[in-house]
Amino acid sequence: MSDSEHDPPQLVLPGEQVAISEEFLPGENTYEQDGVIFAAAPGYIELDSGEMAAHVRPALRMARPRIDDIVIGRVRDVRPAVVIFQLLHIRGDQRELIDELDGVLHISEIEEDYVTSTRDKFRPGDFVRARVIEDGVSIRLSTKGRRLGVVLSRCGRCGGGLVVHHDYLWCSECEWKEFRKLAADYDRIDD
Amino acid sequence: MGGLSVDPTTFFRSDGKRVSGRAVDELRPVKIEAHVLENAPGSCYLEWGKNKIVAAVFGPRECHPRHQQRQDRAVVRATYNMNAFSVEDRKRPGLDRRSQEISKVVSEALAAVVLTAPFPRTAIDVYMEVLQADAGTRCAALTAAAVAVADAGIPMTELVAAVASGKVGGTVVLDLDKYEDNAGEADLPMGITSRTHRVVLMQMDGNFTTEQYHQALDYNFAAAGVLHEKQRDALRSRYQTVAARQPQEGGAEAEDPGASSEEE
Amino acid sequence: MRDITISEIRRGYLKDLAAQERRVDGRGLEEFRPVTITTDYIGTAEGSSKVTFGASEVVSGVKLGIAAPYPDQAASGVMMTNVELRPLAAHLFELGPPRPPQIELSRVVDRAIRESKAIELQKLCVKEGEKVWMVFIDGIITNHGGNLFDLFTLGSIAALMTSRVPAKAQGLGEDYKLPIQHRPIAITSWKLGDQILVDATLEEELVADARLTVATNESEELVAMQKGGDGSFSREEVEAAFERSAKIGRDLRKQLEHATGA
Repeated sequence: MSDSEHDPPQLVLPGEQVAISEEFLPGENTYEQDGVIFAAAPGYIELDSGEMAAHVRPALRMARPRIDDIVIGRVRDVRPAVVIFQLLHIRGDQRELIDELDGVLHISEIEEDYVTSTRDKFRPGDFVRARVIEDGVSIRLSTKGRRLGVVLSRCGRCGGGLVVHHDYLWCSECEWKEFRKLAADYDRIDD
Repeated sequence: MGGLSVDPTTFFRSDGKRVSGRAVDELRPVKIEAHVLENAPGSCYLEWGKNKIVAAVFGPRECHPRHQQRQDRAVVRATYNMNAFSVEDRKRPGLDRRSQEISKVVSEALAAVVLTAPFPRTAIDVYMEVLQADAGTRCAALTAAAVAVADAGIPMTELVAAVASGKVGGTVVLDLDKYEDNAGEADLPMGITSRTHRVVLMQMDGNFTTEQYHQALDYNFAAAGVLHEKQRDALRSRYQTVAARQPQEGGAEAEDPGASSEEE
Repeated sequence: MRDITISEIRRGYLKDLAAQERRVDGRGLEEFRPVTITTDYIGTAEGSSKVTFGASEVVSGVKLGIAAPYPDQAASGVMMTNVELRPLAAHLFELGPPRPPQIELSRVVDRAIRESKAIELQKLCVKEGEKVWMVFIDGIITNHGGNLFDLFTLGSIAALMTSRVPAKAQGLGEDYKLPIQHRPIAITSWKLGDQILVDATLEEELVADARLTVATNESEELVAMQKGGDGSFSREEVEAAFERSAKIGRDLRKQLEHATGA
């Protein structure tokens, strides 16, 4: 909650004072020195009287996924309980993500229905659209929702393009059938 | 470097002003604009006298080659490049030894203010292109680079700006232009931070007495303050533009594709 | 690399759009983005320009120097074209020696200028067999928004048309205008699925199957071509690419003439 809901948010630049440490804890995009909390990025002061923290809400935030962001990732590894993604892109953000950033999708977050095996839903190399549900030390993802899931995939046998057939993917090259948790706009994504 | 039998009247008019009409402690006109390039997350265009610089920042991003990675923080890699047409005699494209040295000292100056610890094993890449050169390009480049880093939203403790003082005709002057620099007897470029006034870049060549050195330091610290204000102005007008265009939190949530899960 | 992976998942969508003769930014298939041409941009150059097609941006500068002529063209000036895809232009460029795409871009633009005989090189001879003017055309891409062949060709010719020969500095009399006799314009046809479009954005460029750059002069004669990409063109398509280049080139040439006061 902002203390100053009626005032226009105050813009601060790196090195400018945000608050004093006696009253607040240093929050996001700030640092503390000699009893003073300073801004570490251009943004707006946000004083949280509940947590007693002084934050700077970035005017333009860095390309790091936050809760509820929609991201595109590529499957790195499919394990029994989790699927590991390399995150590539945040929806609506042109900027690069840090390459080494992984996202984790737990089997219970794949879809509303019970999933017996992660391998029926994803394969390494798949491009997947997912929602961020936790943005702490590890980025946790969910693919529950009709527009979430695999948006592009290649055939596991011949590497050819896979097309949607009913509720599965079909490789016309080698007549191979694969199952996935598909996004409704597979191979036609416009965001 | 000159220094041989310099006639002071070559550099100063009868009214004590310099040939360019500037006072001894006067900067050339400086114009800074933040966020001028579409692809880079942070960028800056800077004109300083006849210098024209464009700077851009990428990252934190994957650090290649891997041996440059640091386990505990991001590395800041600045690249200063002087373009072929930026100087009187065409410069062959490519990084020469001078450019590599400037790149190194500018990288270190930026690393002194960027908060690198939150981004271990990554690289923050800063590119500075000199489009037109007229003495003082390293200072102009660092001043532009700092704005680009802030524009990218990369956390930093404070801004940094750079400026040089030198000596012509035996007199210490601030911010030598090309005409003065060609016969300069000393040059002291410094990068100075905006809040704690720390020195994060410093080089010197030529000859200063103690008094002249102190005079040059006075000029540089005072001018850095002026430059910090211009940097802040550029960033403020950038964010005011952004705020006007996308008021408060993005309306992106409204058309969030994941939100359509109810439709199932 | 990242842009390439991202564009891979957008390929299907972009091709579908193109099949309906639509594009992400709402343009028609044969419609250019807004073109801006600024001349006399760099004071240290003999001639210069900044040209933008939407987000694509190139700064071009012309420098002249004295050099020895080639033995087989003893009475002719010399020209050289070089472009740098600087790493600030997009995520895809790295530092280091010129890579094949950059070399190709430099060479294709060089051919358009050279083969059209845009510069009257025979007028740039100072002393036959000994001293001639060397014309350096340098470009730097500051933002890569696609379609760099057309962009740098236009940037080069705009810089050349506003160049002066610095004769005085060499003790060779008064400075004079660089003699330019032709105005080549390059228009690239990009193939996306079965459709052809012009002035591709970076994203469109990354998913395109093939491209064909066609440079024409003001008499609408062909002066240079280059095909690129893994895909192919039919005979009809290569004929149409020439007509398209001549037609769109006419408009761009008008803008060029307006901007350079020619």
